[in-house]
Amino acid sequence: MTETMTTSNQPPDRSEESPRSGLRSGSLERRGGAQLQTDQGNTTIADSVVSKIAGVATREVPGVHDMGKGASRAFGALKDKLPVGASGPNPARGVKVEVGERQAAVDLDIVVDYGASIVDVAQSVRKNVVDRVEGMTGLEVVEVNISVDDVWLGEEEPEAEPRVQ
Amino acid sequence: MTIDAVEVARRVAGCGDVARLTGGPGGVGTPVIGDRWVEGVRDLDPGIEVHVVARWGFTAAGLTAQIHDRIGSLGSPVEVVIDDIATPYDEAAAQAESRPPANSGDVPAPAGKKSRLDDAAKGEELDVVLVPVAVETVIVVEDGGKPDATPLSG
Repeated sequence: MTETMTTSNQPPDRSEESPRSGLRSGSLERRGGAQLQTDQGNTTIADSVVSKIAGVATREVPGVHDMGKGASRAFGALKDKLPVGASGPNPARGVKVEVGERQAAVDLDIVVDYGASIVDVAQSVRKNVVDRVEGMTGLEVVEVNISVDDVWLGEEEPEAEPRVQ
Repeated sequence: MTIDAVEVARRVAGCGDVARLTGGPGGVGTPVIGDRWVEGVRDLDPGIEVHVVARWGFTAAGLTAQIHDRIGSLGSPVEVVIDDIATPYDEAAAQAESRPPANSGDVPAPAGKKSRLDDAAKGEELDVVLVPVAVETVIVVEDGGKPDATPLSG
């Protein structure tokens, strides 16, 4: 019952070029992050920071139930049940980013709530991720690819008691 | 020129957009006198490199300006590395940890893990506000060995 839908904010006629071809990389990739250059020095932003921002921005959107593919969600649910070290959901789960010197591309795996419009949720997620990442890091987000991996149907109802003893 | 790593750390930690300093994946830090270690500060000679965890809602330009304003006089250039970000989930978890369990007289533990900077800061003139912790006295009344307690109502 799982259906995958991938949307992107790029036009579909990009079959000849790499999906990341618009990403400008720079010398700062040796540190694995983006860089803001000023007269007084440089600021480097780690890729994990961009991942966490994108993950939290995605979870902020109503209609997004969870993030990540099936195995990572199952592992995350198991981890959340541990009494020690529980610190909420891993915000970077279900997020892959590619960060260049000035630009970033984001891939998201999400689970939407049943009844929510997937198109509307995807548009809201894309807008929020772009706003958050660009606003906080100053990077230009050139792609937000969203993969809807599952639909949350709600908690499973407990088995009904037998009507006869 | 050798930088005053403790002073750099104190000033950076006071920035509004900085949650804390961090050694990052490489364990960046500077040894100081007394066999201590200041995380997240490196002497580039010339210049200073600081590794920080940013607060949620920061802007890279704003955080950079804050750090440059505070430590620009101690060395230049200033290289800022944002290694991590404190998400709202981290803050909620920290609050949950600091909250005492229900029906308990335990004194709430301070939030956050004690860093090496705390040790390095001992004896230094830091802007540290010591908050008095209220100690709650719990009186345990035993029933004197009676086998059964008397019910309050018939």
